[in-house]
Amino acid sequence: MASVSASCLRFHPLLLHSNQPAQGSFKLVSVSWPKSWFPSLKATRFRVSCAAKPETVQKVCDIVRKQLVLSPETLLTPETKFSELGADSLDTVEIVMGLEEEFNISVEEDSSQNITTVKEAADLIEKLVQKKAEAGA
Amino acid sequence: MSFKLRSVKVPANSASLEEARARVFDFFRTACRSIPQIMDIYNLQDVVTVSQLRSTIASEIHKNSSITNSKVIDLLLFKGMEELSNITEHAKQRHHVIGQYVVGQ
Repeated sequence: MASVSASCLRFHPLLLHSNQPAQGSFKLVSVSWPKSWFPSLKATRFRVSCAAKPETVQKVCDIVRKQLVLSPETLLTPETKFSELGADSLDTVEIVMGLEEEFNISVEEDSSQNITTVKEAADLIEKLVQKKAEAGA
Repeated sequence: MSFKLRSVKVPANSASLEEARARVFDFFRTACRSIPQIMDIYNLQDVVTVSQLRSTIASEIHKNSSITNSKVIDLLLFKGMEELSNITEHAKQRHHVIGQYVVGQ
């Protein structure tokens, strides 16, 4: 009983820092898992929850807007598909190349096939930037 | 060294439109990745930006987007590859590149 309550307390600062909207689901999951798993959990959860930083998403949106010449009123959420915005497959590849240049990363062939929304692009960028930082450091 | 390898490749024989489409994207990616080198070779830093060149390449590809015969696409890709190798191995001159890809698009 005491250990469970301690684990709950430990997670509150984490959740506050990450400012995630879906906090309820995380709490439910964490209580059932044993204490020894927590350090790795923290690392993986951070990666999943902070997978798309707001600035990254914003930059991606700007690039998409410029590439597809969208008017400022067009709604551009992380979930919008590129095809909805009137981009064909070549435009999608061009957007990915633009992101490559902007963030100084190198996207693999297979990963770029699956990018259909802004959120996926931002997540992939985050992952690659992280990998690059780890490799460089 | 990498450019010589590029031009010597056997002309592709795409089995389907999908394979041809994949080859087009590979070509586009190769071209985009060699843009910084091209800008370096011909000193185009003050004339164009990387994104302008990228959209020029994309529009050239787009011009032929209505083609459905995969063999025709293969030939166009071969010619595109040839052009790219010519440019990257400095077989062209600055005014060629500027006249063809920067001005008058």
